[in-house]
Amino acid sequence: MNALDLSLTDAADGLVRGDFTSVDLTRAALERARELGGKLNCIARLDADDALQQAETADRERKQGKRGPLHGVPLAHKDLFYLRGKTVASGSKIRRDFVPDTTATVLTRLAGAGAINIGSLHMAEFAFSPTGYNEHYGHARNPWNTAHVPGGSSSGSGAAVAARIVYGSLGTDTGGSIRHPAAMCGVTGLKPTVTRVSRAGAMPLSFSLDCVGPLARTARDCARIMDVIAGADAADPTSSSEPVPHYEAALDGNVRGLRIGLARGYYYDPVPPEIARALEESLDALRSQGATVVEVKVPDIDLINTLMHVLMTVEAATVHRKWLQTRRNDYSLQVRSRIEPGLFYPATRYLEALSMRAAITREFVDTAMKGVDVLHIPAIPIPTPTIQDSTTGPDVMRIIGTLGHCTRGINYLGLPAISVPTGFDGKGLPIGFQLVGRPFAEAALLRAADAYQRVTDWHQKKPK
Amino acid sequence: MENIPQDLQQVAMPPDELERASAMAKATNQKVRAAADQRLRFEDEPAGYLAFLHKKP
Repeated sequence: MNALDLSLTDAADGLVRGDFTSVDLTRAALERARELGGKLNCIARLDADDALQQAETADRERKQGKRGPLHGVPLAHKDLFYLRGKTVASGSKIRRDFVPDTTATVLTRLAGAGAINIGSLHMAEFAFSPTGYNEHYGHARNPWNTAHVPGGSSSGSGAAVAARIVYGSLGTDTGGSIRHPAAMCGVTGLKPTVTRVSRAGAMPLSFSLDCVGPLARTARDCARIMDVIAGADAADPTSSSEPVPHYEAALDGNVRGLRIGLARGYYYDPVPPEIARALEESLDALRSQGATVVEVKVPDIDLINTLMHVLMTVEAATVHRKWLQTRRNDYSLQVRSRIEPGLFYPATRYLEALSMRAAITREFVDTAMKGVDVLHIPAIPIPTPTIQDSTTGPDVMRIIGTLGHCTRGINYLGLPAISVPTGFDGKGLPIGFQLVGRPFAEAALLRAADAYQRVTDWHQKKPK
Repeated sequence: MENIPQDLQQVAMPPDELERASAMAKATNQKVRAAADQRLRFEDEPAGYLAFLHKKP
């Protein structure tokens, strides 16, 4: 077996056993990045020399007895995490030459755990697209079928993990930007509770909604990364001081007694039969392990989506206003058009949207999640579109809007959610289901997803 | 409302973009205002959300 086909945790175990060295894995990852990076357009920057140097250090430290949970494992991350001295373009033309003088806390934490960073991964312009659309550097491509989108905005993360270039990647999720590429590329992606993971040194899209989280092949891989990155950070005053459980230790494969809420209605409105069938089969697999599934009703998601839109566009317009004044033609029209409505909302509207957040989240938890531990909904309610269908023609805005149908409202609520692969559509593109939890219930989501992956093999399928 | 970007934000927008953004914002403004009229209490404020997140069930 090619070592790059292993899961992150299996690769880490192989390093411990001495099956291979970190230099072996890093060389292989770099080689694969060079081989497939262009075809998939998923790499923003490769730091080959730095990565090999880190790998040599990791191997040397291992011989001296030092090891971290990610010791020697090659990763790469969305190109919006600041890395001191390296260009971080955030998928934009405007920041093409931006070189930060600080490093994102999450990258520092990963390095502290021994992870190797081989470079940065392509993304949608300023993280503004559920497809991965990028007019400046070209669209990243789906490894299962390069005519299709990989999902965005963490498009390179989804593509690179699915294509076995790296074992895992950090993305950000403001309206689905971790869960979209995870679902469309057939990998596992966790959007944590808002404030669970530090955002210090991550280019913001929306202060109230942005979350940093992992994309990897398995729930266990995501748990290992979360064990490293979660927790309070003095550099991010909004980060939560809620105690961090040991996520990986909680993966006991047991979902007996787990109560799963099946939310039809709104979430299933656009779902075609082939996706509905895959979702039903995922519930059957969880039932077969002892979970109970009950139908639940959800409150007005259209209102939740509207409130999310106000927060996102106003906050994005705040971040981008100066550039909209001085460099408006350096934005693609699609991205500019998504930011500009934020210039039209009075402060009262924005504060109303923020002030209703507690009551509406409470209402959602008290109704949709009443008597259940997690909610089961689609990740993407339609088949993964082609690049052509999602960039030209009359259906573009409908497609873009529908891709976030099941994800963006969850960001307003701030709840944790995980996207898990569960089959393929008629064109061979992956399908994902989503589990949504109560605030800070990441462990419950990871445990359920891990249990599901113990009795299914969708997460092990790899693109040809 | 069309004057907000130009006069207050100092962002010049071509007419078609202005019209599209303005139309979207108008409908959204109405929807949020109606929801706030119906649901928002004086004591609700943004910080209440973070308190809710940390409240144990």
